[in-house]
Amino acid sequence: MAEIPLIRATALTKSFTSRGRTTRAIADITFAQAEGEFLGVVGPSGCGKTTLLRCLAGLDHPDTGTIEFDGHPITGIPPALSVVFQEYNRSLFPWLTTLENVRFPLRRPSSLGRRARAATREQAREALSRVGLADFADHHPWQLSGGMQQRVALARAIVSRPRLLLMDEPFASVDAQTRATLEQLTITLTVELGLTVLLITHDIDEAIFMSDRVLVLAARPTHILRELPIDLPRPRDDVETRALPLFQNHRRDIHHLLSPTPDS
Amino acid sequence: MKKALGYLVALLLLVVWEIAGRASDTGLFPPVSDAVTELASLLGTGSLRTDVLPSAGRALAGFALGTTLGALLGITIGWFHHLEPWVRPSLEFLRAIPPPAVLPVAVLALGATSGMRITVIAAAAMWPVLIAGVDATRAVEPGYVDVARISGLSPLTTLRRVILPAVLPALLAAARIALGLALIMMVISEMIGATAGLGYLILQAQRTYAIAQMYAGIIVLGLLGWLATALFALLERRVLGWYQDQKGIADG
Ligand SMILES: Nc1ncnc2c1ncn2[C@@H]1O[C@H](COP(=O)(O)OP(=O)(O)OP(=O)(O)O)[C@@H](O)[C@H]1O
Ligand SMILES: [Mg+2]
Repeated sequence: MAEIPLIRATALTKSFTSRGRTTRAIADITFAQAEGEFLGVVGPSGCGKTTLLRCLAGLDHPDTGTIEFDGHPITGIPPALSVVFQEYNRSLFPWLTTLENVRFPLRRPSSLGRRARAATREQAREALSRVGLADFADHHPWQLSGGMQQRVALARAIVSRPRLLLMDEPFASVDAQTRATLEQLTITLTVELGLTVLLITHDIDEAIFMSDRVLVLAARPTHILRELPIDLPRPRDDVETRALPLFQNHRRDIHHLLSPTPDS
Repeated sequence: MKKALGYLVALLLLVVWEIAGRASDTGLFPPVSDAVTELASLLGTGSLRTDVLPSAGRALAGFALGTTLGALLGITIGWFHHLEPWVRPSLEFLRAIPPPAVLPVAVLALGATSGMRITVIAAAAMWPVLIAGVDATRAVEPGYVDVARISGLSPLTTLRRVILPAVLPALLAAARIALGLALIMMVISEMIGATAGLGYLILQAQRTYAIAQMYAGIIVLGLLGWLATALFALLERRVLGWYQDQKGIADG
């Protein structure tokens, strides 16, 4: 069963050219992720994490290299994939209520009857209550706190039951308390819905705490410094897990990997 | 309270007009009561049906036509922004032409017809919306488009469900300006080769020294502009309620 990985990237490279100046973002990335695996990707700020995610999502094309989804090279955006973007305030539509924002990715051909439309509304409602926002269905995003907005983005990402969920530093702009809650919520959803998640972050602790395996990226132009299996027991607890010696070891390892190449 | 004061000031101005009109003996500045009496008799003789309504209808038709065309062109140029270098210089030149200058050309091409007047109104109303449409479409948050792409929306559906709502605040702000231009062009277009309409009425009254009637026409124009603005605000409130609430824009 687990023979074919859900997503596989082989020898990706990517540069940007603007005004005659070329920036190499990705030097060489090769990895695979199995279905059901929680994969963390850590790397210093500006190293090319978002660029990698955009290539994996089919939003951008790598210069060279291939990406296979479910064994097939991708041509465009894989339909069974969804994304939680780095900045929720630039990805939620202010003119829609939270319910309509969550319902947005669900197909709504005009041929659908009233019953099918009601069904998508129910689906969106269900996703909203999974993230604990059932009571805020009629609010607009700008009426919610940052943490709540990121929950809406999460609900929108899971409403279509994607096979792969890509998350780009989803909790970077909320306070520590909210962050811990959202991390726990994401783990819960992963288990409940059997999701495969690729989580990009620059927070080493977050990567270790949530992942089955962590890819450590080098500074720009980025490549993989190390693949680190995280054998911490599940379910993981915010306090207990972080106190384990194994957790501390992983954290020390990754710190050492990243410290010789500080942020540019 | 403030609102009541505002009306009181308006009333005061009317009283000043009345007094000044009565004091003046040139006959060129009648008191407001004369203008209002004239207004009543005008409407009594069916001028509402022959002048006011047709004028308003042409203004509305030209406004609707011009803003729709402006929105379509603006969004298209903004969306396919590699088109912009091709059309930008022509647009900059054309928009710089004061709308009334188009009138003689339109008369030559279309004759002194209702269609001609609607065309020049539309031509004036189009520009603000077109320019705002280009700029607003280019400035749409790229993250919005990413979400649409990830959700598997076709480009056409993306236009309808993402781009259009995103640029609507800018389009409506520009349409407000277009509304003023439409009314201006309505009056001006009726001052050439017309036999009816508000602009004709005012010009004709001036030529025949029916000064009170001239002022009556101007009052009707003012009322029309006020009504149009009020209706427009109502429309804005309906389709942009979310925007006004977000920005804390209170009506009134
Ligand atoms: N569209 C683009 N055009 C030009 N350069 C780009 C573009 N997108 C990214 N870059 C460059 O590529 C590099 C990597 O950017 P990227 O956004 O992938 O980094 P990141 O790891 O996600 O950073 P952060 O941690 O701040 O989110 C940066 O140097 C950036 O300037
Ligand atoms: Mg990034």
